[in-house]
Amino acid sequence: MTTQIIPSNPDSIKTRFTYSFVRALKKLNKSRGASVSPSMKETYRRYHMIRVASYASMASAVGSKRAWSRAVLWKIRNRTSHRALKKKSRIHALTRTKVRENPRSDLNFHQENDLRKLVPGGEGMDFCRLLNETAHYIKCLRTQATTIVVVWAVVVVGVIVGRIGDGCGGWVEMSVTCDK
Amino acid sequence: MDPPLTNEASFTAGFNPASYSLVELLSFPMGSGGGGLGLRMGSFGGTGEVFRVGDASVEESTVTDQSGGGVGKRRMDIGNFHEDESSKLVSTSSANSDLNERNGKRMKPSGSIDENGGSKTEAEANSGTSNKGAEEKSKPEPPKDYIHVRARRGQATDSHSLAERARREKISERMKILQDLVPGCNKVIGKALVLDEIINYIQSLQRQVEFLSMKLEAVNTRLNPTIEGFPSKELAAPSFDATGMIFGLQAPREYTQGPQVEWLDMQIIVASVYKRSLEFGVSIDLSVDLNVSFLVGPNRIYCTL
Repeated sequence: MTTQIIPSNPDSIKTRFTYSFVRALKKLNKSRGASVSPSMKETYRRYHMIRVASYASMASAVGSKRAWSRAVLWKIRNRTSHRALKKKSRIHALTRTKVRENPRSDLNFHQENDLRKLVPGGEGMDFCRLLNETAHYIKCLRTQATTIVVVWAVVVVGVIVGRIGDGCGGWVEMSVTCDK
Repeated sequence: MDPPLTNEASFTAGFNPASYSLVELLSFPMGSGGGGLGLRMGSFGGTGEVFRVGDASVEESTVTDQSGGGVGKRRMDIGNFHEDESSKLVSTSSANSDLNERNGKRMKPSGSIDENGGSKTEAEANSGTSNKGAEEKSKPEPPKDYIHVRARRGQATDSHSLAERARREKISERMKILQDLVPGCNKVIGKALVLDEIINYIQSLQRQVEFLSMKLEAVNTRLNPTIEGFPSKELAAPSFDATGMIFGLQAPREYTQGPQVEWLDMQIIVASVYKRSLEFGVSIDLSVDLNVSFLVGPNRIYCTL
């Protein structure tokens, strides 16, 4: 019924992200426990897993040529694998950032520090480089959000199709209002 | 031999010799034969600075160099060394100075004094071809590490402030790119406010991703029992015809079947979304029978069944 449609640009970050994210979602779905009514904790864990999966697939879609994607992947890997090392590295990172305060920052905006915290791997970066990375990061975040919306919509439509069945002539509105 | 402006003559005369003489001086201790300029530029932070200084007028550069430390001394020596020669080199057009500089650097590996003469003649030969304004000097920018910055009248010309200016220009350029990226950021004036906008935007995007993954999780949990309840073979055979037919009859079972089909074909569907590449206003045909189409907006999604 459905024809296999080849994406227009198979090498684009978007496509790569979509594929790896959907794959991760499938895997998460498979590995899920048989609990019918998941507890709050379980729900939160799943949500967290999905979020991490989205970030990880974005970073891996971007590849290792960007500092922020490397930082994201590094963070995720360390968090999941060894907790002890994570603690140690956190301490290490703290000291490192203190040592590596950018001495040349003539624009002593507190915004700069905020930006450093927001962009993964932004600490200890030259301000120029930070701006570069920020631009790329914004683009990727946007792609990520759009793609997740689409994936979500596809899933929801699956549910709705099942639920409502026929007799649904008009538009069904699914609001994804994002309260800020 | 055009009679150039006195300004030009003074600084280009100083500039050209400064470039290759410096290079010579530096190359001797290094003892490196071939290799591009980039190597040397990378290894010596000082060279770049000197070239930048060379862009400005000679008198000022030498003065500032004198005030510098050890490296400055070396540069000063070079400057003196060149002032002797600069008298010989009266006419070189500023537009050619880049070219001369490159020639000088390229010739440097052979490292002989004859070279000076050679490049000088070259410079003289070039001088006849073009006698353009000093502004054009920065135009043929070589793809190297250092950046040509031209000091305007009244601006500081020592190497530090030149480097600083270059850096600031770079930053403002990047800021402009970011402003184009962030919606509604074009009208904002002031670096701090722009940065604020950028930060807000990134935060909102990150929150959006979190929110969406929460939503996705909610949907996923709803999907969960249905997927588990069915053996994989039935999953593997999604037939839209069947679901379409069943719809009116048994609501609960369709509820279970719809999602499965969805999960299986999600990849294809999402790909099709991208193929049409309508981020706002996507219409997807889930199947011929069901004819589901989306209208994905920034905040809401409409779907028709």
